[in-house]
Amino acid sequence: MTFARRIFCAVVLASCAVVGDARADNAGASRGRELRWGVDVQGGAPYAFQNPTDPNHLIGFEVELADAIAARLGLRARPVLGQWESLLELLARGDFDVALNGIEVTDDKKRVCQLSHAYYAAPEQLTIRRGDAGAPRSLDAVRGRRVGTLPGSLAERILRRSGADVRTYESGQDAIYADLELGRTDAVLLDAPATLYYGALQPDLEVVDGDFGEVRYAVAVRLGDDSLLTAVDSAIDALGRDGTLRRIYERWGLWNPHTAKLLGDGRPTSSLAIATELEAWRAAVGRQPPFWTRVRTRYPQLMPMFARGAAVTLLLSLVAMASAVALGIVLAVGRSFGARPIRWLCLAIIEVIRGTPLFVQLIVVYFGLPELGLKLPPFVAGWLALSINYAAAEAENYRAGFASVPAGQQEAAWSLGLTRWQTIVHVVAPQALRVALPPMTNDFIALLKDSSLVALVTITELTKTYLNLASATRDHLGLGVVVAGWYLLIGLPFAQLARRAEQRMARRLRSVAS
Amino acid sequence: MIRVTDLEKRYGATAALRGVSFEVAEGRLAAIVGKSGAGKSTLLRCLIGLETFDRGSIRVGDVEVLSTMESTRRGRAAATHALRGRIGLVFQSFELFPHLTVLDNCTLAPIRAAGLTPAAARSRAEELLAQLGIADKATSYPDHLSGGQRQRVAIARALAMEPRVLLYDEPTSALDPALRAGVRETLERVRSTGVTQILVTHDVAIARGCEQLFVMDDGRIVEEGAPEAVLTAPQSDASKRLLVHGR
Repeated sequence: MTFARRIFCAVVLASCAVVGDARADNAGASRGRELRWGVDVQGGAPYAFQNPTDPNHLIGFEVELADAIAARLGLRARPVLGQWESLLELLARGDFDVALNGIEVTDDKKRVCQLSHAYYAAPEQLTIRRGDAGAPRSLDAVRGRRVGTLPGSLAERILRRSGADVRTYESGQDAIYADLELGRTDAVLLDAPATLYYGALQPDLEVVDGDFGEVRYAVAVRLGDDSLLTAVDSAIDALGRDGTLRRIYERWGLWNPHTAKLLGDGRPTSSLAIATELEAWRAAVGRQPPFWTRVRTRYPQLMPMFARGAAVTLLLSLVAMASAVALGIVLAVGRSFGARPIRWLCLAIIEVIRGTPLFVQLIVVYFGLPELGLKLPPFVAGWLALSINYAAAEAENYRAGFASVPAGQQEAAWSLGLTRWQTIVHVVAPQALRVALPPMTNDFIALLKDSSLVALVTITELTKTYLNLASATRDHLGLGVVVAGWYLLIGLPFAQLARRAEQRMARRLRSVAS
Repeated sequence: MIRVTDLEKRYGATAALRGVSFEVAEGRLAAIVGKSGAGKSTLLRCLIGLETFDRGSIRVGDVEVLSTMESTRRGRAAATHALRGRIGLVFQSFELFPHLTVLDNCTLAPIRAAGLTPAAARSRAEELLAQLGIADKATSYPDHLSGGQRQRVAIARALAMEPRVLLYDEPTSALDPALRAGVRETLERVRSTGVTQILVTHDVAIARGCEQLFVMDDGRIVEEGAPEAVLTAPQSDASKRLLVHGR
């Protein structure tokens, strides 16, 4: 087992450095000289995304906007990554100072946050398959038709009002347009920037002319954080007045009459002949180089990011599994050997944990516990939720293990004068382990994968790394192969280790008869 | 010396033991025989402290365990614990710990329960294994041993706790007929250690070689005496039946 211990130590040491980094990215409690802005880079271009030609850097018009606002406030902007659907909850929880990521101005948001002056306005745009004669071309025509959009967006509400059969996608714009191309939907309604950077890029898709509503983006600030709101408002106003916003939007190809009107600018069309950032995006993702070319040229530079994500995944899984095992043992011993009230208590705990989804447990731990005054850092919250969830599974494994040891073994131990506890530790547990080990290995591999859920609480682990990169480079298949390889790489050694341990135990217990 | 006085045990409305009394002197080899259901197993479980009993007492040397009627739970627990140190049991299916080597099987309880140092426990175990003729199996795992070898390990494991009395539950039933003769030799080897041995069995053949015989029937000792006397001229119906069926 020294080999296993050595691997474990190496992994923990290596991961500590990485997670130290990750925590600096995520938790960042001090307001200090930074403006921490919440963003989901999986949302993709042109908002805030990893540069497809250099994914170690975040780019996007909102990255530039955040930098400009922060500079106005005398601060340095620092992005904090979270899921787009939960940005406002993360904001309320205090994980960052502002949320700035295509957050639409709607009245219902005012209950959970304050919105700044709008910094951008754009039309909603309908995209259909080119040459599809039956495609809907107006809001009246979408009634009963399958239309894709982002969940929780203004576009979704417009579609629902119009009676469309709405399909929403958690996985980003690429998936929305891919389904349209594949004929699974009849149209897509999204904000103009997303349409421009994804839908309009596909030669077989067509953007329909017409009025489908207008969306405005604003910066979200925590309720009660009035001084910050005032500061952000005046920063946006000043950036609008001095032409900074216009310059940013023009380079990204986003300047339009709606925004010109919003900012009180008399020139509704762009003064730039070429929107440089839009062209760079088109050049980078317009046509994917062949797979093997990507393997040679593009993927090697992504490896440090994947390695970092993998280290977070591995470290989180290891600590979560360790505590799940410890907690599982306590529950299993209580359930198998405890007095009746303890048995019932353990059973109740196991059933409640087992009967609720990990997703719900994570939400309760991260967003629910702060209501009771317990605000856990993201990594700890993820750790706790995964530990609790898997403790129940482990407890049942060990209980089955205990039950597999014949009662005569316990009686033999007692008759020799061993106490109850000594009997469990020296006689029952080692034999139970043989039964419990194979499902434990399974559970660990499952936990490695389930740990991807913690992306919800601002931790960028392996899966989230993939989703962000895939969205930025529009390379879902190739990077999918890469991320699968990483999961195998971190999962296989443990499976192998467990197999070896099982074989060792089996050799000892091989019956003479067999 | 072990003395059992008026032992009674009921399971709900069923009486399993109806006043069992017997005494076996230090270093003697005795057998308790009876058909299945006679109460032998219940008696054994009471003796080893796996069951409480309703009336009577069990005394080994200076330790006496009283019935639930005549003792507190705490007093009984302490006495039972002390008694376990003085009575060893060789289980019918031996119940060796499969995850431990023969040597570790024999040193686990001496180290953990009796507080011996590992070195002392080891030398005691090696001595016992040598005495029982299985010194060469010390590093083997139980699943790699034959039935007779396992039985000897079980005996060595029990003797390693230095009991005054060693009980055997059906010592011949888990063995091939060919191996049963070996049991006699093993019993003789153990006798040289001075331990009182009691076989609980329905195997009349093995009982014949003992010094003292008790016949059990329906929760009582119905006949006792020297095996030759009891078996050649049985007085009770139970003994007669045993002679007919129990060969």
